[in-house]
Amino acid sequence: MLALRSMDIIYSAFIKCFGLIIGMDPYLIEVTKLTLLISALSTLTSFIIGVPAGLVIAQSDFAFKRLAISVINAGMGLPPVVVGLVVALLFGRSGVFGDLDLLYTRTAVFISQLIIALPMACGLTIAACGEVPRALKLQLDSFGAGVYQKSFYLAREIKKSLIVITMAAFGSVISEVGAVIMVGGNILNETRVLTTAIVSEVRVGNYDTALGFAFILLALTFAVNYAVTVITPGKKSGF
Amino acid sequence: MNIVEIKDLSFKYAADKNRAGFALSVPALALASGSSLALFGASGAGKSTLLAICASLQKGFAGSVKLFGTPLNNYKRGTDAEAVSRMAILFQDAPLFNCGVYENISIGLQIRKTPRAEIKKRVDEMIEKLNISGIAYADAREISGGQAKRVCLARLLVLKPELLFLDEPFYSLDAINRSQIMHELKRLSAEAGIALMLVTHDKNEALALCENLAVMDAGSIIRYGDIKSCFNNPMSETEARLLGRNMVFYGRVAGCRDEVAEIECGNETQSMKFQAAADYKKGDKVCVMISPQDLSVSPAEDETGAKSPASSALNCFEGKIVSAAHYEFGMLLNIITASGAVFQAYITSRSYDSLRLGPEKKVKIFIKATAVKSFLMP
Repeated sequence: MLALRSMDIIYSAFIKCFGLIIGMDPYLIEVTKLTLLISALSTLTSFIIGVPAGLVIAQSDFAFKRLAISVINAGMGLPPVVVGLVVALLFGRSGVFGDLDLLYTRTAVFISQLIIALPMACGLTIAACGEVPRALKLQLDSFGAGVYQKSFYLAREIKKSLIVITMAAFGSVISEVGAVIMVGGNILNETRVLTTAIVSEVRVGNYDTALGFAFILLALTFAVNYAVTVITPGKKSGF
Repeated sequence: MNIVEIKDLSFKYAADKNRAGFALSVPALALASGSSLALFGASGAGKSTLLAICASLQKGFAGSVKLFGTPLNNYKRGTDAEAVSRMAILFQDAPLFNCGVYENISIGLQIRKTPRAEIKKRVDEMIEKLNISGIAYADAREISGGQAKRVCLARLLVLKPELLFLDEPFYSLDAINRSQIMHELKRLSAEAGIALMLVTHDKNEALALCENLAVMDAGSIIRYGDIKSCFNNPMSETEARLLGRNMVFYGRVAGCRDEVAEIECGNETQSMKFQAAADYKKGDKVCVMISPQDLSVSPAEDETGAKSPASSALNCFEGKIVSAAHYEFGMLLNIITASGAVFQAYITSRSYDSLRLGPEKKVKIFIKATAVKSFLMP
């Protein structure tokens, strides 16, 4: 009986989902647009900051380098709820940045997603640089390459890894829910994204609508990953 | 003018779970402009570390190392680029960048901010010189090991360096490619007057490319000098073994006449008498070294049973071939004498076949007194 009920929900969700998409439902479009906008922005920002930082850390020798890398790696495993809690405390009315009045805004959601994606971009870049043959790095040194030149050529060596890093960061922020709810408040037309919309629909018992959103989320994640894979440099993509 | 100058260099790193501890100590070493030096020794002797220090790739050393007059102690890569811009390094592997061959060759010039027109001119010229125009626009990941080594070499020579560091550059290449690339390198470096510092444990590479030799053992240079004189006259047992003289005997001088010393070597299990071209006093304790290349071998009797003819060589021993193995240029024979001493001899395959040699065959070994190298023991 339970299995039949589940199948009914999934079937109904498919119908509802296609209905929403074909009908260009304004609620769906708004939530999807916002999800893509914030996730893409946080992924892009984490890439712009994290990758160069990772490249510089990977090739530099400084005191506590191992400690720094350990901290970054630990950041990759940060529980999103804890990130949300910290951001909420910092940007709450009594927080250090309380005066900015950012809590329950898109900016707060962006910041929490950035904190989740940044260690990932930085840590995975450091790991990818570790895979570049030592002789190649020494060759760059022997040419007299400075930090920025070396970073450029290292980035070119790990370009496929950089695409994987982008995918991983995007996948992690677009599917994030704990921190987004905590700092965004799941406000309709303001901070509601696909994941928090699913939570809202489940809360009110609209399982079919929730599943519809879930399908769209999965389709979006797949589409973005597929697009990135197709434009990957190299032979016929697919790494 | 010296382009590399080392004084009181010492470098060490402590042992950890991944590697054994190591200490390098070089009181003095210099490389003059346009000259060539081979750092020769067994694995772990410190050759590559010494080269890395001279090439500014290894920090943390004590003493003075100057590259083109620039002290490398506090060298900052990228900002103090003058000395580095005058040298280039060819590594053991052929590391190519993840792009096309043409761009691989031009990367060093791009980093050194050479004008675009000049880059094109130099790269085209080098592609022509190294005969790699067929792969100039290929993907660097799709070319063979020999071609990759040529591309690496082209990438360095377009920089027009005054000094080329070579860290076992022909390792992993087949014999044909090794020989071709070695001769191309020799020709191009001679044409451009490039000084060479080569790390190798291959005698042929060292002899083909360099005029001076530094023999290294356990982090120290145990011999430095003209390459031919070093190979021909090793001064210690370690040096002799490193340079390929793997037959070493110890003994005392029994007498000396006409600048030929009679040396009695042996222990409980074996005894030999060598005639060596040397001037010693009776009773001197000496070490005798013989290289497998210096032995000449003939059957003890020919097919008619006649004894082998007399020879001008003062050392003649009878023995039996224990084993015969093929090597790059012929056969390596292991021969045991009646007194129990084991000799090794390199002979050509043609001689091996024409003399009908083989295991268990009785042979005579001839060694000229001038080929028996010896030195006084403390």
